[in-house]
Amino acid sequence: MTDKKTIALQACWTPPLNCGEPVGCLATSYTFTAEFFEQECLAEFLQMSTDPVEDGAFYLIEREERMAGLVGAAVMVDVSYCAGERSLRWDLIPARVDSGIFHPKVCLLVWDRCVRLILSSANLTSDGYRRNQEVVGVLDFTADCGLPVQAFDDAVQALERMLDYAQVGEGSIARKRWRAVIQEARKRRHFAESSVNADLWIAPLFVFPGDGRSLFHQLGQHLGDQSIDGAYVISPFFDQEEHIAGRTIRGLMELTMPGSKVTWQSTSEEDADAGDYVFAMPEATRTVPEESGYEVAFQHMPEAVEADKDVVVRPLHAKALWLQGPEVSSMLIGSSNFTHRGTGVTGYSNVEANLLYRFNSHVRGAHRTLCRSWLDGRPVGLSHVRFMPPKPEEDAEEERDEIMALPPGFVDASLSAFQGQWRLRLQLGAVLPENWCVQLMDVDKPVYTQKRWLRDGKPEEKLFDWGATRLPSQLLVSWHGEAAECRAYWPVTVESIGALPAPAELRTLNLDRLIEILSSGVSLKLALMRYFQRQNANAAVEAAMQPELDPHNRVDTREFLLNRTRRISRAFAGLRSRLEKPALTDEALDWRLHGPIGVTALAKAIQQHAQSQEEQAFLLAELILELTRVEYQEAEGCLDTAAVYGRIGEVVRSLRQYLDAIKGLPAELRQYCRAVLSEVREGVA
Amino acid sequence: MSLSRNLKQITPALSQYDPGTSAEGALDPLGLYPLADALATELCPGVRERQSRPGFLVPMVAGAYALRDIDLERVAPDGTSNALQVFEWVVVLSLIEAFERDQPENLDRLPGRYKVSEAIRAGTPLSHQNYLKTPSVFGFFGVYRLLARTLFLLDEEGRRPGENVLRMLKAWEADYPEIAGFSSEGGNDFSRALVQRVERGLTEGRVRPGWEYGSRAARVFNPSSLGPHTKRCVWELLTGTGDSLRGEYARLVVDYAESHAETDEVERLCHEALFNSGSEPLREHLTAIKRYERVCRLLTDAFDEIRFDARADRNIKASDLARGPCVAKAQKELPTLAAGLQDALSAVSQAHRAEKVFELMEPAADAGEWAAKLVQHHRDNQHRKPPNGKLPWIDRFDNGRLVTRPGYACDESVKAGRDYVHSYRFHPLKSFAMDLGRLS
Repeated sequence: MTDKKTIALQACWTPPLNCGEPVGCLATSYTFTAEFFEQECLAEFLQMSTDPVEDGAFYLIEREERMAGLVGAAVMVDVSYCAGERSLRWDLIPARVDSGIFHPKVCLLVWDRCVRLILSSANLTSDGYRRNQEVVGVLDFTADCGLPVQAFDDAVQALERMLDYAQVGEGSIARKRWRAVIQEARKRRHFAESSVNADLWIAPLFVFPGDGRSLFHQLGQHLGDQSIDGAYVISPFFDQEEHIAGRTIRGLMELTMPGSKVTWQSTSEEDADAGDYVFAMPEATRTVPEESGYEVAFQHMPEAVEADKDVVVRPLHAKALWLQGPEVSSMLIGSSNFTHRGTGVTGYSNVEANLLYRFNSHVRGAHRTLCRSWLDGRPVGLSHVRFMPPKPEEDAEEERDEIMALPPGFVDASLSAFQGQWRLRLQLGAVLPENWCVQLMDVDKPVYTQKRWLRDGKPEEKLFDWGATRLPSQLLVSWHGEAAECRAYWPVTVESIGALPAPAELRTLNLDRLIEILSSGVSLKLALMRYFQRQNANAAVEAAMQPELDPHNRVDTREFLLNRTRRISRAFAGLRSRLEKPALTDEALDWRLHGPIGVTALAKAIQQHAQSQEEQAFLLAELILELTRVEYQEAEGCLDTAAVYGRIGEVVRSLRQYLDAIKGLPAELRQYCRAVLSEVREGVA
Repeated sequence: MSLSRNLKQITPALSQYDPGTSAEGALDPLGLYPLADALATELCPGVRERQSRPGFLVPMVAGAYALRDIDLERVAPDGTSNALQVFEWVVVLSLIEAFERDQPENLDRLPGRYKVSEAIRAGTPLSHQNYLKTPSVFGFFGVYRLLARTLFLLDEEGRRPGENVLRMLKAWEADYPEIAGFSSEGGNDFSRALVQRVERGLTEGRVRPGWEYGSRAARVFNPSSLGPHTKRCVWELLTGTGDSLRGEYARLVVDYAESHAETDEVERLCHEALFNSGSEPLREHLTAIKRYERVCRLLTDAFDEIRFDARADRNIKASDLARGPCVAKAQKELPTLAAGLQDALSAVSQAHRAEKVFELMEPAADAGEWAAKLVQHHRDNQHRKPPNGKLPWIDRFDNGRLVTRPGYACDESVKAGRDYVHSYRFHPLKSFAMDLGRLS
C-alpha cells in the first residue's frame, strides 16, 4: 500500500489555493449524517476555524457569517436516510427513486475561481469519510486546468436532473437554490477545455432509471472499437439472485473480447481449516464467464488493514472497474456496485454517479499512475473459492425497520418569514398513510394530524403561525403501517434564509461592541472572541475586588472624545469596506445591511446608546455620509452596482427620515447635518 | 496546463484511514463528562487527556519569547492567523521536512502531521487553508496552551511569555549550545531568523517548505529528544508549580506505573493504591472520584444494556428493560450511594455540578420506571448539546417502544463492570514521565 495514492476524504472539501471566496456547494449521498456534513465537510469548505464543542457560540457566529455569503448549500439524500438536526442555512432534500435507491455520491463545490467536482464511493458519513476503504476522483476546473468541458457539462446536467427525484414541492425554494448553485458553476464553465485530448479521456457516467443507458452501454460508447482483454471488478455488493447476476455479468462481458480474463475483488471469510475463502457473491461470477470460455480469478480484499501502526478494520466500500486492453487502460470509480440496479442493465436501476478515466497505453507513466489508485487484493486459487449468499445491496434496512422512508404524500415543509413572524407551511399530497401525525422532535404535542386535516377538508397546503419559538430543522411524521407504528423524518427548508434569527450572542450587541467589532479589521468571529475574552478578564478582575491604586489606570481613556471619535471613524470605515466587497446574492447583501453587525444594527445602536441627542444626530449623519461613499467593487456573477446602490439607498432614506425628525439640535449641528445630506449622491439617495 | 502534465493530480485516490480528532467530551450520551473533567482538572491542573508530549512546551515558549515584540493582534490575509499560528506552521513544517523520511518516530503524536505531509507532497505552502481545521484547539498551541499557562511558561492568555519562560529557555540552551544566546535581549541568529520567517509568513498568509534554518529548528524543537536540562526543568515545573495536588499525584502515578503493568482498570487500581500513600487532600479528592465513578459505571452499564436490548429487531418497551440485570442493579444501588456521593463531592466543592446525576439517584417505583427516566435524561442531554442539539441515540415511539438508532446499538450484551468510565490523567502523566526520562 505504500506506493498508493491516498487522501483523507475530508481534504477533498479543502479549498485549493487562490480559489477565491466560496460561492456554493451541492452534494448527494445515500446514507447521511447531517452533523458530520455540517461540522466536517461544510466547515472545511467554508474554512471555519472554530469547533462546535470547544468554541460554543463563536462556532455559531462564524458559521452564520460564512454561510451568509453563499448562493446555496444543499445535500440531496435518499429518502430513507434524510434526517438530522442542522443549521437551517443549508438545505437537506429527500430523494425518492421508485425503482431503486438514490445512491450517487457527487459533490459540486464552487468558489470564485474554481469549480470542483468530487465523485466517489463514499457516503457523507463519518464511516464513509474516515473509516471505510473508498475511492474518490477529484476534478478541479480552474483556469488552464485542461479538463474537458464535456465532463463539466455532463456532471452539471446530471446534478440538475437529480432534482427530478427530489421529494420537495415543484415551487420549493430548495429547488431554486440547488439550481442557483448550478448556475454559478455554469458561469465558470470557461475554465474547462473545449478541445478533446484523445490520449487521456475523463468522463462522468451517470445511471438513471429507465433511460436505457446502462453503465456498460455508456462504457462501450467511450471505449469505441478498442478491444478489452482483461477486467477487474471491485465491489462489496452483488446481485442476490443468480439469474439477475448473470445479466449484470454478461453486460460486462459484452465489453470484452471472448476468452478474456475477469478478476473479481471482494471481501471473503477465511475458512482456516479448509484453507478456503468464502465470498459473499453469486456463483454466477464464476459459472457465467467460464461457460463462455472466459478465464476467471478471485482476489480476497482484506478489511483488517494496517493504519497508524495498528491493525484496524476498514470495511470495503469502494466500487471500481478496470478494463485493460492492448491500447487502452480504463478505470471507472464511483457509486455503482456490481449489481443490476447499480449498473442499470435491467432498467430498474438506482441513480448512480461514476467517473471514467481512459488512457491510451502509450501515454508515459499512465498505467503506473493509475495502478497507484487501485486497491490490491490477495489472489485466491479457484480450488479454494467458495460462495455464500451476497449481502443485500448497500442496505441497512434490516437495522431500521421502524424509521421508514418519508411517504411521498408529505410533499414539502418550509418556513417563511412574514411581517416579522415565522410561518410553517406543510404541503400534502392526496395519498397519505393512515392515522398520520406530524410533530416536533421530542415534543409530544402534534403540529398536524390526519384527523384535523380531514376536518379542514383535506387541504393541499396548511399554514401555521410559528411565532418566535425555536425554528425546527426537521419534523417527525408517524403513521400506522401494516403491522406497526412507523416513523419518518421530514426535513424543513427555509424560504427566506436572510430572515433567520442571528445567534443570541449577536442579537444584543450595543454600540460600543459594534464599534469595536467593526473597527477591528479582523473576522467577526475573531473580533467577538477578543471582545468576550476581555469582558471575562474584566469580570474576573472586578470579582477579585482589587482596588486600582494607579490613578492613570482608573481612567478609561476609551471614552475620551478624540479616542471615541477615532474608534467610531474606524468602525464606519470597516462597515464601508464590508459593503464594498462583491456580494453574490441578495441574502449576502441583506446580511451586510441588516444583519447583526450591519448598517441597521449600527444605526439602531446609535439611536439607543448614543450619549446625547447631539451625538446621535452627528453619528447618524456620519453614517449616512459613509454609506454614500461606498465604492462597490462589482465582480462577475455578483450583484450589480445599481442593485447594491439601490439597496443602500433604501437604508440611507430611512436614516435620513429619522435624522430629520430629531428636534432641538443646536443650530451648528443642524447645519452640519444639512450639509451632509446635501452631499448624498443622487444614485444612492 | 495539459492533462498529461497533470496526470498525477487528476487520477483517483484511495481513502486514508482518518480517525479524526474530536474535542474532549464530544460524545458523552449521559452528560457525565463535565463533572469528571472538573475533578480531573482539580486533581491535575493544566493537564488534559489529549496531551502526551511535554516537548511541545519548548517551541511554545521559544516562539512566545522570540515573538514577544510582534503585535499578536495583527493577522495574516486569511483574517485569522496571528504570529503564533504562523510560528506553529514553521515548527511543524520543519519537523516533518526533517524527519518524515528517515526518522518518522520523531513525529509521533505531532498535531497536523498528515495534513502538513500532504501539503509537502503536493508542493503547496502551508497555510490556514491546508493546516488543521481548528488549530486553536487541535494544533500544538491549542493542545498544550493550558499546560503552558498553568506552569507560568505563558501568560494568562497563553500568548505572551510567562514568569518561568527564562528558566525554561536557559535549560534548553544548556542542552543545545548551538542556540546559545536565544534568550538574550537581542536574541541570536536563529531567533532572528525565526522572527523573519514568521513576519514573512504573516504577510503572505503562508509558509513555504525549505528554510535554511529548518533542520536546526527540527533538531532543537524535536519533542522526542529533549535534553537533560530541559527534561529536569519541565518535570520540576510540573511537580512543583503552585500548591495544587498535581505534583504529588504525578509522582505517585509514576511510582505506580513503574511497578505495575498496564491493564484496562489501571486508573482505578492506581487510585486504590494511592489511598495508602497519598496525603489527606489527595485522598479526599480520590474519594470523590471513586464514588462518582461508581455511579457513572452503574449508569453507563445500564444505558449500554438499554442500547443493546433496544436493538431494532427487538420489541422493547421501557417496562421490559426492568429485566436487564444492569438496569435492575443501578435502580437498586444508586439511591444507597447518593448520600456518600453528596458528601464526597461537597468536600471538594463539586456537588453543584451533579444535580442531574442526583435526580437519577432518587428512588424509583421500579426498574422500568427508572429505565424510562434514564432514557429521558439521555434525550434531554442530547437536546442541550451544541450547536443544534443532537439526535438521541434511542428513539421512543408513542406506544412506548424504544429503538436504538443504527450505529448506536451495543453489539454485545453488557456485563456489569467496575472500571472507571472516565480518565483522570493517568495516561498523559505516564507519557510525560516517559518523555522526561522519569519512567522507562
